[in-house]
Amino acid sequence: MNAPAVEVTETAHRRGGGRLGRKALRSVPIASFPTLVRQIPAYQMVPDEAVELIHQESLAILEEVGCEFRDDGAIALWKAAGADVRETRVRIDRALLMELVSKVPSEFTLNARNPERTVRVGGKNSIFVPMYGAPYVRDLDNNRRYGSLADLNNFHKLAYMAPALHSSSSVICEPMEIAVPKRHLHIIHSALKHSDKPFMGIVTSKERAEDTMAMAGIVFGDEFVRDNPVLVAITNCNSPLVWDATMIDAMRVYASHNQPLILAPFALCGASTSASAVGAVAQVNAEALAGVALTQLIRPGSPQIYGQFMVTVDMKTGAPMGGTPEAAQMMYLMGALARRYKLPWRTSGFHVGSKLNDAQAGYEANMLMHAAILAGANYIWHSAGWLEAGLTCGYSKFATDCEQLVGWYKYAGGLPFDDFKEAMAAIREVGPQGHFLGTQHTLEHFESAFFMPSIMDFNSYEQWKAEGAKDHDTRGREKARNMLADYEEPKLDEGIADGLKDLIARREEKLPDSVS
Amino acid sequence: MADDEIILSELSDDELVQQMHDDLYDGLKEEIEEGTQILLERGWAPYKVLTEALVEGMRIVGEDFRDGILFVPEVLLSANAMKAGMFILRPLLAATGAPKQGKMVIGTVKGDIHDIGKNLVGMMMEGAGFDVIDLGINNAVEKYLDAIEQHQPDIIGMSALLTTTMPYMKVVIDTMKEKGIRDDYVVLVGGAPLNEEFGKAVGADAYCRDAAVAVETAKDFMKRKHNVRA
Ligand code: B1M
Repeated sequence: MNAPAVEVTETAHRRGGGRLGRKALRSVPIASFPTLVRQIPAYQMVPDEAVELIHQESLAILEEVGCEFRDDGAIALWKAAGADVRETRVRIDRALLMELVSKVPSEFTLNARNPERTVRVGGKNSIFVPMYGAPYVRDLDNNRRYGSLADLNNFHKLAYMAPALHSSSSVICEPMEIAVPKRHLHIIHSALKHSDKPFMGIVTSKERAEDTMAMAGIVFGDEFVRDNPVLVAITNCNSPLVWDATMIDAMRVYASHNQPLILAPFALCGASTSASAVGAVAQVNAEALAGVALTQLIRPGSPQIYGQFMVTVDMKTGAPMGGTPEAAQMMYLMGALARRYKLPWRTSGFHVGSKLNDAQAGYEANMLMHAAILAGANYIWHSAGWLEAGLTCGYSKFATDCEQLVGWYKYAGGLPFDDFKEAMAAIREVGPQGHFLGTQHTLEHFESAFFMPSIMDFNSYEQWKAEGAKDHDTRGREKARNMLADYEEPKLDEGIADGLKDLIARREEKLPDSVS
Repeated sequence: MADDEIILSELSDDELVQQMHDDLYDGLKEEIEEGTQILLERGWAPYKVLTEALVEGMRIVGEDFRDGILFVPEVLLSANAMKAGMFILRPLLAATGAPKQGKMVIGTVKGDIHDIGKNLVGMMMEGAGFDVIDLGINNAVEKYLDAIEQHQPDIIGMSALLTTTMPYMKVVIDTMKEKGIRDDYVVLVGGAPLNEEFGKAVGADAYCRDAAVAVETAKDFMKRKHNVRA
């Protein structure tokens, strides 16, 4: 995080420094924080016996009710493994299930095209990942409209620039102007071109997953991507208890390449689970374990991410909510289960139901991120941009989230004691009644001692008013605009860049222009 | 809630209808069945039972759902009670040539498995007295065409939640056009990533932002259909 030496050597006889020097020092873009290694304990909200009870109930669900796998290949794998299979219903006994689950590594390395951005996932290692899947954007002028490729490029640029984001995700927003059969190519290209961080794969069809792997092969080498994780892909269970063919197709493509999948049911609790937080966790745990187990039949020992995305349903409309206390409580339960199974696990951080980057969004986001951090989640997704239960990605929200992540990164990084002695010395130096603003210790540490967000406003009322009395949403959009103005594209080998373009051109020739 | 014992058959017509509105509100299926039978026995025309006792009762339910007083599981119960009454009335309505409340085929389009919203729409439509045939998820155009042929609905409802599957709605509508049957049916579309403009662009009759709007829109179209015929 230390700023590299700055060149301010215009004239040889000057010492440099001064206003220009300080400005340069402070404006050096910090490219990326390393993997967050959590230095605070994970909080377990219930006693061990309660975790055990839920675990047992989940196993019983898979033994007694079973889970649907609506795919011939998956059914064949389950039969060969000795599960009780009747048509597409698979009942898995606990010994088989736990044996498969135990094959998953508890940690893995997720490679970035720039090795400096490579991260670890699992154990104490956590990463923050921006959102996924928004059809709409709330744009820089505060209009809500369908997303475009230009928006997606922008979000990938912002993801690249945000120090605490460890991934570029993939389809942060949907580039709606591009024909559906060709869209995935441009989504992956945008992520790989505008950022050098790890990214996410496409899962909406087998063909699109294969195209994703082909593009990854061009960037990392075909050989490399056969065994080394370079992306993460999300396959959702269709709760309750159904894994369908589309998801299993994608699972096969990625797991066979040793690329991690997220097996974390997205459950609208109360609609796709029972209206009980613990009941929902028992069900989602069963679904997630069943998915994890299938990946181990496809490729034993492949890295996987277990977990959950559980939101409660607004019983007034059936719509998903954000930021509810139960969503936070369920995270703690899933975290405890993940540790029991020694599995890396995913949850969502700043996901909200609010339409705007407003007070509702702030409360919702904070409730959930706090829980995600304390519950010890490893893959903290939807950590930037998310509005309207995932229907919209907001520029202002994205910028705010990125900034807040720096704070959470610090929070989870624990309390440093390394300057404790110096701080004690400062007390002795100042004594009663004085102030610390001018001490050597303060001068040395003020820049890093306390989180200094720029979008949050702590000015005097008069100052704030003089600057236009801007609300948070406006300041967030300004921040996003400024960041984009400062963006510089990361280097990409020319051969690779051409290779990607060639592949896209070749595929586009083959693919139709509309769905059929 | 009806806590004290009430003998429905001892109520006057007016009282009974009022009571049925309350019972629908409270989702009391058996009571609705009983009330429906009593009114029929008293010589009420099936269409009068339907409109004054059931549809009117569900109108109140719909209003309170819209205003956030009633919740989804409660409305589901009401809709089930309504359905039970409809079950008794349907053959009688057909026999007496009463104006049809309407029939809808609804399904999520090909490639898409989201169904929570579609299920809600189906349930609210049934609650409003519509006959609903639910095709489930992941429906190719053939499924819609088969269902149209088999069930002769008034309305085709399509749901999509993915930007990658919503263009498929156009495939269905275009195929209906090719077959020369597009104008025989009302096509309603819905799903969170859609909007008014998209609905128009694919050639649907209307985009419905939620279940309540779907019911209102469907009723509107049925009214127009009856007016045309009248
Ligand atoms: C007459 O006809 C009519 C009339 C009105 C109609 C109508 C038809 N249909 C709907 N209406 C209207 O009335 C209803 C009632 O008021 C309303 O219905 P809604 O469905 O809008 O509202 C419901 C009551 C509640 N809403 C919902 O049920 C949808 C909520 C969200 C969160 C959602 C859910 C729950 C799910 N998902 Co999905 N999912 C999302 C959704 C984001 C969102 N906020 O909408 C969205 C749509 N999903 C998305 C994605 C990416 C995916 N999902 C997937 C899977 C799932 C689950 C299985 C986990 C689950 C579905 C469970 C189920 N049984 O339906 C995958 C696709 C699977 C597939 N092949 O379809 C997968 C690809 C994820 C993955 N990688 O696995 C995103 C869309 C991406 C895009 N840009 O197209 C998404 C916006 C979330 C996100 N940001 O990632 C109205 O729209």
